[in-house]
Amino acid sequence: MAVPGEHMLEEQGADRVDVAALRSQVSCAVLGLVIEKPSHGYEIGLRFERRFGEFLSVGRSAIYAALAGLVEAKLIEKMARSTTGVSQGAKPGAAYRATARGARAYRAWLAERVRNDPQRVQMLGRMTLAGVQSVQAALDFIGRYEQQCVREAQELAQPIASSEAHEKGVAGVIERLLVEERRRMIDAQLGWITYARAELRAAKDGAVEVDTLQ
Amino acid sequence: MSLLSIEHATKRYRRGRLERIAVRDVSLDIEPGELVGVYGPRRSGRSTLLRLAAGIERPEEGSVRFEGRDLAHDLNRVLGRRIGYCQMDFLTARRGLVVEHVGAGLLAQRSSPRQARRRGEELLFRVGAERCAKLECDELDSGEVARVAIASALVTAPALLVIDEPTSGVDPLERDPLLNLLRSIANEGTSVLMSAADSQGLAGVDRALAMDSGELRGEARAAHARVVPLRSVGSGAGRL
Repeated sequence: MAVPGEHMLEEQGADRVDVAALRSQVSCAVLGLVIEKPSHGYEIGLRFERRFGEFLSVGRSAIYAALAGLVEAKLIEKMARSTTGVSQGAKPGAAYRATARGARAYRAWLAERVRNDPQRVQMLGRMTLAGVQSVQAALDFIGRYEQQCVREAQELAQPIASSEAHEKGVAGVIERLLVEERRRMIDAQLGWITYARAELRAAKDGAVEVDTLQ
Repeated sequence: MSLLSIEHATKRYRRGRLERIAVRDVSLDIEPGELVGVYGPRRSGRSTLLRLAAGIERPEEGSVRFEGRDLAHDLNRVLGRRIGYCQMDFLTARRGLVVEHVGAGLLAQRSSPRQARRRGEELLFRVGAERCAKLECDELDSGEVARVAIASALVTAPALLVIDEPTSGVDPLERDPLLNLLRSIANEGTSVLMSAADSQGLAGVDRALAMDSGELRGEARAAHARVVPLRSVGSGAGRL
């Protein structure tokens, strides 16, 4: 007899397995492109280059390997062979489309990336401890960390100014909300930096008071 | 030659026997048409740095040069003419119509009241605050105050606009449009130096600097000089 909620638990378990299949960023990016629009391998390669070429530099063979891996994991499937919709220069072949399982796995993967990962933070903290063994070194590290935050804040596109954000509907709103979320995370990091400096300075110089005015 | 050049500036405040260092050995160059953002928490020294850049405060050590002139000697010829400093607190305390306030800077330069008013209307349109023209200064909300303050500072067609926390207290949905306005002003050739208390205020700036305990971190000089169009702010229909 089925236990209430069992189906959902099974589904969540399957999602975890499928997410595990999305080991590489290339696979995730390729799956996202297939979900966005069923396409032939050649066209996916072109779209990959346009969309992710700036961040992920990979050859066509890696795209095809990712497609094969996603097919094997049943996250995407081949459609019937057709020459329609084949981009110029492409060999006619099977187009790929996402399975429902693939779409679910992709959403689960995205959710995992969006939330904070305590393990990763802990790992970073341990790596930091290994390389920072004095208050001055810690302040220096924090100064560098601040520079990273400030640089990221600088590069965060202003959604209203970007051309993509002008698209109507929910997609544009979601894009702005994601930027806003990232900004708030940076603000939290900058707040932590201010706090950490105060703690470190207090530890460093109980004797010499460093005071500033705005 | 940079438009603004701050060299090893230090600013101290003394209260009795207590000495407080607000800005400590700071160097910063700003090029024409650059949009520079300075992030810093409270009491970091960011506002003092902006006042030094505008010539409102003088450093005890080091120098602040604008278009090659030392502001310690040539301030009266520069502030309110070539440097526009946005005073938002001051604005809300004023009486009179917004359009009169915006044009007031021109009256000191012997423009007629009519010319000043017309220029005020043009600039209010430029900054997207034309609906505020006939309001009293104390009727404005925070976003409008920022826009009107920018218009007032632009009235003399300055080469540098200095603005302290333009998005402070502004409705969250109004902040990006306001920052876009400052971006467009820089794109038209007027350099903008602004401070930010959060990450949003740095979005899209040419250089983002961080200030802490009076020390400035980041690139003190622009990596590349910007190409500035031969077009002054408010001279055309270039509105957002």
